[in-house]
Amino acid sequence: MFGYRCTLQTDTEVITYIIDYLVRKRGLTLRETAHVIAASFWATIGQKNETDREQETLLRRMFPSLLVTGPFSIILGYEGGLMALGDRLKLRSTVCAEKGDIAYISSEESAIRRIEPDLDRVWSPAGGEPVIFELYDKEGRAQ
Amino acid sequence: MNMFIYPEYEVVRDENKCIACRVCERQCANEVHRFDPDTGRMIADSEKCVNCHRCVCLCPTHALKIVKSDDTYKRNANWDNQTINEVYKQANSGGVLLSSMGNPKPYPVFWDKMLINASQVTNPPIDPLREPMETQLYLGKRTAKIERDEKGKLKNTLAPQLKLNVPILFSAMSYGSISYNAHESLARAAEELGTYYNTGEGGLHKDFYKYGKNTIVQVASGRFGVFEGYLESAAAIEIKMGQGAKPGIGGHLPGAKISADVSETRMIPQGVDAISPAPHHDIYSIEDLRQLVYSLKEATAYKKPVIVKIAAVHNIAAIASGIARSGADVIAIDGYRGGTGAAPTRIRDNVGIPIELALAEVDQRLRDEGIRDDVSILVGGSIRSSADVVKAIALGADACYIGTAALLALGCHLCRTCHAGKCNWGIATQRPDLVKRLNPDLGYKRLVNLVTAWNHEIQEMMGGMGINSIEALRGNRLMLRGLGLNEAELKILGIKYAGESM
Repeated sequence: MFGYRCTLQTDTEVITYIIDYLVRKRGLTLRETAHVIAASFWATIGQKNETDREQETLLRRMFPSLLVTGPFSIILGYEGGLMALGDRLKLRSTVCAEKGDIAYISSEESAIRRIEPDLDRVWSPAGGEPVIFELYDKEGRAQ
Repeated sequence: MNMFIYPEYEVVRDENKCIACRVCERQCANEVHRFDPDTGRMIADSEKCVNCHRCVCLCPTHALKIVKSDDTYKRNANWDNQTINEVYKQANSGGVLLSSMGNPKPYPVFWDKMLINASQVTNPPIDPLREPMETQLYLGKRTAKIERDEKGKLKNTLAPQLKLNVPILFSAMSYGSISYNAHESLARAAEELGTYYNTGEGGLHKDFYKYGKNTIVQVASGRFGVFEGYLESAAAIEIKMGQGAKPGIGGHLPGAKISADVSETRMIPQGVDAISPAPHHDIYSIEDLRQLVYSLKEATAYKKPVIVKIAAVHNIAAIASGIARSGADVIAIDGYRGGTGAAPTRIRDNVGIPIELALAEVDQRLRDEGIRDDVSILVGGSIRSSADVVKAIALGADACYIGTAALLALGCHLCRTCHAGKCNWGIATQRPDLVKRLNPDLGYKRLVNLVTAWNHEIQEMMGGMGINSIEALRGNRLMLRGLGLNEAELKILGIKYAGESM
């Protein structure tokens, strides 16, 4: 109904089209898009500060059918940046790390350590919390 | 000459248990039971019995039961007893046969021919006792422009929506068709559950304005009790175009049910029949409907969603598409098994289509046309359990209306005699001595119990599927498989046969 035709029938394909729809067609930022695809639970939203609560509630009310509830852990690549996003229940893991100006994203820390044992920082983002690494602050939009 | 018709059900009394306490006699508004002073025993006239089970439930020694009579005409696969009896009744009276509650005929129930999925290995099931399982949702238009303020924050450009904690609402039942105490029970239960009840077309009793934020007020063809304060008081307004139990016809509340209170609430004279016309006489097209939708929005400053309720009929998808374009925020579809306080039997039993098929058609049509997010879809008639709710949502509904199930919770035993106005359970009656039998303090609690129990079951089924938001289940037809359905039915329902993979 959004005008996309899935050929692979995978969740990755669906998420890709959702991002295209929300970012390119509707003009949401990547963070806003993450709050649609992996929206925080209502109970969590209720505990946030007023601005975040209002914004995230609004996003869930506008795009409830674009919430993806199954397990996923994705990396979105775009011109000038990368976004890591895991499902809101953290059924699949995401690990991020930094060493100097190099960023690492993987589903296991061991994979990152294999490439760079000596990391400046390594952390596991919460489920549904997007991690964005950017060369320029554009949040995935061309201009 | 009136042809004698042997009663369909017989009252059976265990004389060893009966203590002649006469509770049954006092409880039966149909005057079935009588004390015989000569023998010191109770006797029953089964001819008057409607099989409402009031006496069975209240007999302190459980001495009573009601059984299907084994009296029969000569067996005939074409002319069954009921068909023959109805001919006799009409030959006796010359009248249209009246019935109440939903269509009881043995048509297929498609809910019972669909099975729900569960996750194994590749997608884990979720335990609702350990993890959040969201049944909260919003009803209304979801399409809105993305606009930002000077700080870049999203502006709230959404039309008004209704917030529900559970995907279940109480469907429209008017004050008049049901009692004050039944309405109070529904209103208080809706408030406690964080959902809504619906006034039906009989206006809103002045005592119940305080439940306004959990009230959907109805505007029907009779416009009973409709005025500015009525519209203002509610959370949403429903335009009733049709009803599943009697598509294509209006309503008729007999004068006997128009008590002083009902008369004041409906703004009509006491004791005079209340007739709802079949059509709204100002609506003969989608364009006309649009005018009423916007008149109601204008009258309430665009602060309340407008629901348009229609009966499930043959061309339902095209009609729903028109309604989605009329400015309505929610479409409510009522299936042919939906209940009623009174309907002509032939209409109730022969007009309309099953809600399962209507829902699937409407959801698909609105998706194909790219307007599904312009409206929410509510379905009713008949939703009998939490499994029906889950299946309805997977077929494309946003939430479900329950009417009959709610009345059962209040004590209704589906005797289908509401139109007589002598409901022994205090539900479908205005007789003060009967109404007081339904205690709203207990009634509302039973409704809360029912919906709470269903919600737990819905969460368990969602968890099994690995879906932790009811809104992510909506229209997810891959979660359903058919059993015992033919190809046309599978195609209309948009589901695969059990055992078929993606």
